[in-house]
Amino acid sequence: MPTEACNSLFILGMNHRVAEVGIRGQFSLSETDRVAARQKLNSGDLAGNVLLSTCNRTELYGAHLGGAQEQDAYKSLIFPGLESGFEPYWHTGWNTVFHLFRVSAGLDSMIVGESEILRQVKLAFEESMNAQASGRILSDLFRQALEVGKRIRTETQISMGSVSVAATAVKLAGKIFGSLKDRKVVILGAGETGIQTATHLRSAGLANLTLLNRTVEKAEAAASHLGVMSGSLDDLRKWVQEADVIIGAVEAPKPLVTADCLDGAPSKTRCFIDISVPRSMEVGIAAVPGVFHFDIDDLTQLIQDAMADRSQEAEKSKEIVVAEVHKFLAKQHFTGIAPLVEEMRQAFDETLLSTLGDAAAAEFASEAEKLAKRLLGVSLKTLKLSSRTHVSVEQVRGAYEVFLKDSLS
Amino acid sequence: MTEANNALLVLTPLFYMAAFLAYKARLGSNRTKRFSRPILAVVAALACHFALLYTRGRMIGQPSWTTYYDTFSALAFLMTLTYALVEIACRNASTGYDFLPVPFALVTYAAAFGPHVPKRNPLLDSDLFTMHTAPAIGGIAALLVGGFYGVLYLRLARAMQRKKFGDLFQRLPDMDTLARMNYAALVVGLVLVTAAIGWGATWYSDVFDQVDILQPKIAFTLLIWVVLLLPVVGRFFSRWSDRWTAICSVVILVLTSLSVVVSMLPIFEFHGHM
Repeated sequence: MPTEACNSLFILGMNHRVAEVGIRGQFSLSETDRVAARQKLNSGDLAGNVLLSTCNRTELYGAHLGGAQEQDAYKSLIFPGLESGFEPYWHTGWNTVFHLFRVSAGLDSMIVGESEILRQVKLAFEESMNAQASGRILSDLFRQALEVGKRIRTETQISMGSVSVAATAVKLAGKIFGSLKDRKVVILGAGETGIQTATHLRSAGLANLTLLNRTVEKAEAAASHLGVMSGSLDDLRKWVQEADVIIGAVEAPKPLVTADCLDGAPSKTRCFIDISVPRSMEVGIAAVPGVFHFDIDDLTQLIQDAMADRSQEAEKSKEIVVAEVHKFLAKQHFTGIAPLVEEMRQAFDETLLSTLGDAAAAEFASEAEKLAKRLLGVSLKTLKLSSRTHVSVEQVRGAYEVFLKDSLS
Repeated sequence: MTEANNALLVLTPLFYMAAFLAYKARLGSNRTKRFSRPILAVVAALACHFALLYTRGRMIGQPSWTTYYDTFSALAFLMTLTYALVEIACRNASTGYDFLPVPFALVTYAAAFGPHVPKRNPLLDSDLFTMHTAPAIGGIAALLVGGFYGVLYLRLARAMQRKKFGDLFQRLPDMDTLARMNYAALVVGLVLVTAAIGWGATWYSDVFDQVDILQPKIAFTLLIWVVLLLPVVGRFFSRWSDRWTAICSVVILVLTSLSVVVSMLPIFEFHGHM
């Protein structure tokens, strides 16, 4: 029962399923990119847009005002210079609803059930609202998506024993060095992922941990809170040469850690784990003897193990998602016929007044109102029934115009 | 005694098989418990195997390595003993699945083809010679175990560099543990091989007029000792990497195997007494 409003919805995007980390990094949208893209989208014929860009996905959610949905135009805007390597996905109508609900539920995440995506969806929606670009239907959609995300995490155990990317990175380093307690670990970036990783390492008992950031004050603040050391990314080379484990969690337009950083460094086993998108470490660093290099895609295999236990919970979550998609579509349909209902109510009132006259209407006001409500109730029931079938709002309006409106006037 | 010996010849491989199955059942769980069920199964296999070696020794009044078959059996025992000690010391019982087929094969081979009644070897009447052979077999066992850990280390490192997080990644302990196991086995091997060379040289000079360094068995042994010294000393005194230690242990494994095979070749007649 897709409504016209729902049919206007679309999503254009890519995620970890269709594009490897290098491509995702290439099309990752920074805040500046999103502002620029939104300006262009707002000047077009969109009733709303939300841009969601995380390390695992770049997606444009939109609601079209009418006419053909210009898939190619949006593609060239969000994925400029796209050649081969992957084909972005494009969904319309209720598929968009289904997709977003799956995303917010964490069912489309690399780590099924992870909670971070819900926060990212919320931030993307808020960003669009602040820019007054979300529009009514997208606002409804995102509000319900956030509710769906919360409901699934409450009613199922999909997030239980959640394995974060940070925890997986630590596990990977542990497979090389065993205990990390006596190892020197450096984290590039004092952002959310960097701090999350540092927290995980601290809880594992690691003492020799340093947070590096471009803004030293930010690194110092985070480091003092966690009880670790801090430093500047300007001294990156020195830190990289000394460390055993280097974890990249920093946003940078081009790789910060290159093979040159290890020139003249003593030969030893080093583990480079890059969880940034775009990459913060050059892939070529893996060719340096003694170096183990992993990026976020390499963590997938490890994460699969954690996901295996959640297949049953994922099934339950999918059922909830399907139910919520139906709920959303039904709600949109009711919203679609709301003006019609109001119009009918007014027509009944007017008919009542014109038939009885002002004096009689006042005298028999309560009885007349009861009668009007009863008649209106029958009509509304018919309309609601129609909304549960494949009858569009336009068809309902058509029927009203032909049968009811004439008889009332 | 013969009946007990025959029963133990059958039982010992079965105990090894049981230990292997115990490890198989525990695949993927890198437990840090010092005495887990698989290790206890190995200890049981070792006890049975020791009883076998003891009964055979008692039957002839000599150490139980008078023939190639019995030497293989003793080698399997010492390899497993070294393995068990290293595993208990490192608190990791996760490599038995890969290791135990080797002693199982050696024990089964010795039980199936070796003489059920052990033969007496006049050379072993010499205490000096016995003092040479005991650490020699122990040393070979330790080097084979070291080589085994070296192979596992290199395979895991390769799997990780190729980003293959499959079965090998899941079931093996971390690379640092494998490196420590590798090094521990090499140190034990160096001590025993050095003792074996020392006693062997003394015995040899007593029996023969001059030492033939070019004799393949002796040349191989000296080569092994030199190659063995590199990672043991290198890692102890400098920052010799785990990778190079593992590579050296694999080279030693190959040299030791060649040395054993060469000494068995009739043309060299080095172990013609067996």
